[in-house]
Amino acid sequence: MIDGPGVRARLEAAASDVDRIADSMDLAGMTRSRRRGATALRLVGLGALACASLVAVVIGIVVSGPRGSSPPTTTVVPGLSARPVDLAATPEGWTPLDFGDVQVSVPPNWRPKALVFHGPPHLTLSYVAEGSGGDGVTLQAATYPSGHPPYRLEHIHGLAVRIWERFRLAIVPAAGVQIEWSGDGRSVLDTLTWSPQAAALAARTTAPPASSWRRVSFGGVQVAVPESWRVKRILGSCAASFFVNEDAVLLDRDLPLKCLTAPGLPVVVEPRRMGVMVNLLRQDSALGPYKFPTRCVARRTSPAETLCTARAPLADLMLVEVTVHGHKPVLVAIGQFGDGHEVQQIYDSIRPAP
Amino acid sequence: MEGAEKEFERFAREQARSLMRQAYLLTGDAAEAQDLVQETMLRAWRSWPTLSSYEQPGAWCRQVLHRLAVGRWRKLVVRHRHPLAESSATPATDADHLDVVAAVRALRVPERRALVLHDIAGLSVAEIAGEMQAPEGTVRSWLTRARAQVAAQLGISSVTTAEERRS
Repeated sequence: MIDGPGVRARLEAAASDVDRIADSMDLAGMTRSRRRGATALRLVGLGALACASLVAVVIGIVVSGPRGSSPPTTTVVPGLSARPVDLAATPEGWTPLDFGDVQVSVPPNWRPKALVFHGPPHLTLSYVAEGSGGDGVTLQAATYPSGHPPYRLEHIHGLAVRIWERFRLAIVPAAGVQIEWSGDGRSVLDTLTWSPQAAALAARTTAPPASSWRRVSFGGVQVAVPESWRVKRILGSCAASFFVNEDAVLLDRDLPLKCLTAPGLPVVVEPRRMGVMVNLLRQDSALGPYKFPTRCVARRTSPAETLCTARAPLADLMLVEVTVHGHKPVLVAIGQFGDGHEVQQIYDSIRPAP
Repeated sequence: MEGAEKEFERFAREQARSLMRQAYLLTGDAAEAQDLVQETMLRAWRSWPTLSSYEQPGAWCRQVLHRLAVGRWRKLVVRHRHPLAESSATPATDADHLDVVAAVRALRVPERRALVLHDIAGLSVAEIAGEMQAPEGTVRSWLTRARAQVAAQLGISSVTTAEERRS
């Protein structure tokens, strides 16, 4: 048999990538959860989304002032210990686009839009931005190019990127995202950095929101937002009618989350939105093929709730499915903005409504 | 009760890294691995009154972990067609590590399990044979094949240990 420096060392090196995840797992927390009668940690399906040629109507919902509330007992977040958004990666005047755990920025005259189309076998969502004269960039879940030819490995703002110049394609393995470009779109790749979602989900201790923040409750879930944000209830409907958004709640600015309409139909989105949308999920056939993959990229658990952050990225939104025991799952969409600090605070504030 | 909890917490801490590494190589997906480890530990805690009296509670956890992993593979067969698209939670920053994980994932289930038990869990061929309820010669053959296949995929030479050569 052959001898040489080999497989075992490579296996151990690759496997050690998850040591930090193992170290961050509060496995002892399940003894506490069990004592309090919590049900098992479980993955809940993330159906998702869409929404809204929105008619927003300001009406009252349960809004309460700031108050103390005990933080969840357990924080379980996979990933690296630090995944900062490099704000300097965005040139002056350029527009950041977020897709899952990564962000790129495009020139000011470029027009961002989201596209949805069928796999097969899975629904695929692309985030596209186009300039003039054929310049453009597309972000979507990663797939290897046919034959997996040699690539060049480059590190851009701390992210390892596999680049196939010939195919005008780059893959960010740590985020599972691929970036394709046309024309002068190559310069967009140089603006790559972690997204606010990645920063918000990096392993850390949960931080309580500022005492001035207001807490809003809906569907059994409470979320805290900056005091200045407006609170609206949305009466929305989608032209494609695969998802009726009648129970959505929108906070702050109108969240320009459009219906994910018929496959292939471009949907214009407005990047850099702030805001939070809380939405009663409908786990029925109406979602049909638009259901996103159901596994979590991050999960937080406490005796009373389970939070699952969506694996399928959506342009500029971080999606969290919240299951408060005894209630239907609720979808919380948090706009990705800034360096992720506020996104993290909003995420950390999610808990069962009192 | 408090004593049992402390004992379990110590046990969980000791096991977490090894189980996580095994789960990661078995599934090729960090999020999936995390699920498996948590589910395994949850079951261990539920069975702790009995499990704590076992000579090797870690072996019990490995068995549960591997059984859970096989159950999930059956449900997720379609994912193999689009491995990276469905593996967005991978923690690796080194692209080579992803190739290693992909190579292990391409192995047949018993070969993959044997390789992970041997190289990651540190079990001997005899111990693997006991856990997998297979003859030692078969385990050696799985290990040799697995190592050769992974080595070929990675473009490196494979190593067969003295123990594996004994047959």
